[in-house]
Amino acid sequence: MSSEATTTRQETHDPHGLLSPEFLRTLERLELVSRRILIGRLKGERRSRRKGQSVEFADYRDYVPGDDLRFLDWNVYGRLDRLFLKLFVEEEDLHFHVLLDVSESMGYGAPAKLRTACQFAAALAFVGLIGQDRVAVHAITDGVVAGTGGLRGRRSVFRLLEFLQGLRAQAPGNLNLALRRFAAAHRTPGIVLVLTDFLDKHGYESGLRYLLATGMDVHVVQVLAWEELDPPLRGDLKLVDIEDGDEVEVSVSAPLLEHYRRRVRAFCRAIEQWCVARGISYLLATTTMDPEKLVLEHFRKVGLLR
Amino acid sequence: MQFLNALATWQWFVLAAVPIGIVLLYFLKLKRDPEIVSSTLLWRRTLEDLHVNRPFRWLRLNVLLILQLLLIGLLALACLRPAISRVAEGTRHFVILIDNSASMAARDVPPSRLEAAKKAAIREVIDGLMDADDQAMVITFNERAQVVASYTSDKKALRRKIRAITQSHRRTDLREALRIAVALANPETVQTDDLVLDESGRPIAAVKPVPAAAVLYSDGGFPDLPDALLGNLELAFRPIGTDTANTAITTLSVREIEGDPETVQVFAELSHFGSAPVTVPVRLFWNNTMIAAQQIRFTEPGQQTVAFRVRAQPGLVRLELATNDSLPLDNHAAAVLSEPRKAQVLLVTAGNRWLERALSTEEVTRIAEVRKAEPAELRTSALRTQLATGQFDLVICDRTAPPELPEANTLLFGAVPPDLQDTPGQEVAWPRIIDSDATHPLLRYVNLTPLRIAHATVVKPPPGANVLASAAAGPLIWLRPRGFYVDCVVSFPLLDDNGRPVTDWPIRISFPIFLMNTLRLLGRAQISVAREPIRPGTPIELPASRVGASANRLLVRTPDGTSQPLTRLGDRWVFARTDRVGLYRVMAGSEELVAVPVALQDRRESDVTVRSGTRIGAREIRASERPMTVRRDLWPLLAAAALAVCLVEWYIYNRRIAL
Repeated sequence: MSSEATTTRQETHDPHGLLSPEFLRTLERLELVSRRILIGRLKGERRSRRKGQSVEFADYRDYVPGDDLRFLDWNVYGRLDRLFLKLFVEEEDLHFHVLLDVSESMGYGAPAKLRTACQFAAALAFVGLIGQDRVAVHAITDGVVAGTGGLRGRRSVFRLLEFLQGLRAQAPGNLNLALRRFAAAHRTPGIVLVLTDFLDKHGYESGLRYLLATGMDVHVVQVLAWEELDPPLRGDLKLVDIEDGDEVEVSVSAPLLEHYRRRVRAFCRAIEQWCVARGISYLLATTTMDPEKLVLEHFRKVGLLR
Repeated sequence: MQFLNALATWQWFVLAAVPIGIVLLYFLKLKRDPEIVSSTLLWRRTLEDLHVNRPFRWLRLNVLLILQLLLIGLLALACLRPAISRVAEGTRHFVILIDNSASMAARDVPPSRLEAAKKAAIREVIDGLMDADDQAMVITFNERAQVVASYTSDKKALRRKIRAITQSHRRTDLREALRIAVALANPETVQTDDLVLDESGRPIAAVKPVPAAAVLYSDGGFPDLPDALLGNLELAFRPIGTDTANTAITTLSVREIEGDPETVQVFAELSHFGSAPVTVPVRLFWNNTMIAAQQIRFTEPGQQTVAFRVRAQPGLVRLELATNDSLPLDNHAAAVLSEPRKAQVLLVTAGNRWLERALSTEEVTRIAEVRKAEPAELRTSALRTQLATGQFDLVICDRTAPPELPEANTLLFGAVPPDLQDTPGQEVAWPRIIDSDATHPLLRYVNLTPLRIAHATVVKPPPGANVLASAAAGPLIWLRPRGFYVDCVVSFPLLDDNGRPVTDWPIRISFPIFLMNTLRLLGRAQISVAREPIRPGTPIELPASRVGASANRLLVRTPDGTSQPLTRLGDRWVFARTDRVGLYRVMAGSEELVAVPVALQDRRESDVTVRSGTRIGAREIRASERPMTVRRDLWPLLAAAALAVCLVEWYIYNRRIAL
């Protein structure tokens, strides 16, 4: 593995500027860690909670007809005259899904929230690819509108970055629906990183519940533009929703702005509390923050990176 | 709150259109710049929070509209020139107007309405409203106004002067009192000949306008004064008294009865005020002896007349209503019957059988004492002194004139008064009387038309003369007033110098009638002298000739027992202070010259109904109105408020405090 990493080091720079080369070098030393041991499709570098075929003994269980006779413990049979089946801790690869909200609202801000989200996606997916995990990036609006499919290995980094660069904010989103559809299609446990602004009038709770129900290790990054946190608006305005064209007439005043800011803070805090209560890690990222620093600090802290 | 309209009707319509326009403008949507945001989710929630949390949301949303409408409303209100009556600051001036006319003697508020008014004035104004700096003046009024106390802040003196106000029996006239009060409050209205005098005769200085509040204590027995101007004077009315009934003698007169010189008729008009039916005994006294009585029943308010026949003998005839109503002073009225007075007549003639015969009839001797004198006697000092001192009532001159005008009336036949001797006369032969003034008392029952006159000397009468009969050439009989006296000139003699008749008048019936008329009117002869009552305040006048030259001091014994002097004004003696009803006896030493009865005889004063309000100038003065306030214009405040609202609106618009 280390030799492969060395050979591809020149290839892993980001031609599109999502991630700096120094950051990439830092990321190469990290690996994704699930707070739970997850089941993967292939045998990878992870311990799985599924008892399986590996060298590490896990437990015994009674033999039932149909079991693979190769795993019978003949020594125990010799001593106890009972058939026991040896169970081993199966080492499997990790499924790492990045759900990237590309609804139209993600295109808002300067720089756009989508770019910040892509930076997070690129950084963590890169770690996953380097760690030989099975990485898939899904662009979601009210469903999965595009995806990389399963990627693995350093060779896929460029494909990943290209995919991310090709993303554009598009149709109106429905986070709940998108998460539900994703959860229905992906029953395999793994790590899910949801990158969204949560500015969705349909809510987010049921979608995240669906994700939790799949047993996945869910991480959430809420990306907001600084224009959303502290709107540079003045005067009598007709605010037009970028997604559904909904109009709100406001006469912006200092008290109104203050109230709005309080509202935004409360909104974010509510999401955080909801997530924390359900074992979901939550990070609020704004477009003015340094994503590299956030990735290193936050995801190390919550144990996603090691 | 009072209002004065400052705008024309069309201007009001324009003003009324402004708020409508403002509201219509608010129906137009504000043009807002579209602004793309990532989501309206949080904005909507923010607005919902505000809507839910903010009280008076509607008010906040429309605060600019409300302010603009308020601004217009304030301006419109300012155009109405509103004013409030409020207590003035600084030194305040009070005018206490106390009615002391006859009706204020009513006893329905014991002891009398005047006393109640005095107490109320002291209690309300002196003790109640006046602060140490405030000043008050007191004016009493009946038909005359009198300043009892000039402006002073000495409450003790004011109390003393109010308590000293006495009852008068005169009628009510608010006009003069109001003029004094208004003149002090509005000095620009004071004319130089309109100066107000205080009780000592000094003019009351009205140097600067002093807005004053007047409190009127009266029973309202005066007519409305719609043409009065109050100006700075704020008037409050305090009605004194209760609704009560009263019966009064409102007229008393004594009439001769034609053809019965021994009897006179006492005629009285009685008035009843009050809705309850009442029976009033009416008694007639002659020198305190009741000689007749009647019962008069009133079933409703109104007048009734009562008449008595009385022997024409000297004495005091007094009519009395034996009733205990609220105003006693109108229950009595008296007339004085005196000795028949004979006219003192001097006939100056060189001999005229017609005249002498006509003046010696029984009828004439009953009413006149005629003394005959030759024209030459007019030059004697004795007769001249008698003429100059008013010893005669009438001097009849036949074809001659006295050298100077006597202190008496004159009747001149074929002569002109001495002051007109130089006036050229025109000899007219056979003039025909073509016009005569049959309405004049001298020509009563006298028909001059058939007279035949041989010749006459027509003199142009002086200005002011009253022509009784005239021919085509000019006046033949005319009267010339001369001070207290009258000269009657007949332009033709009865006989010529040769004793031949010039006219056939003496043989006509009209001649003795004319002479009798002359004796009654110019000789002041009366069969029976009945002095009918005069009203309180009417002066007693006596011609100096009646008194005699020797008298230099006359006294009047008034009904309340005091003696007061008469004043000599030219050819007459005058006593003006007949304030109270009763009998006034004019005394020359111990001799009673004449007795003059004074009675109220005023329906308005006897009507003791209390009015609750009155109209003075343009204002309806109600009894309940708050006193002691001055008019304060509010429009400057309203304009300032409108300006403030405008500034607030501007500030809010710029700060956008409201959503």
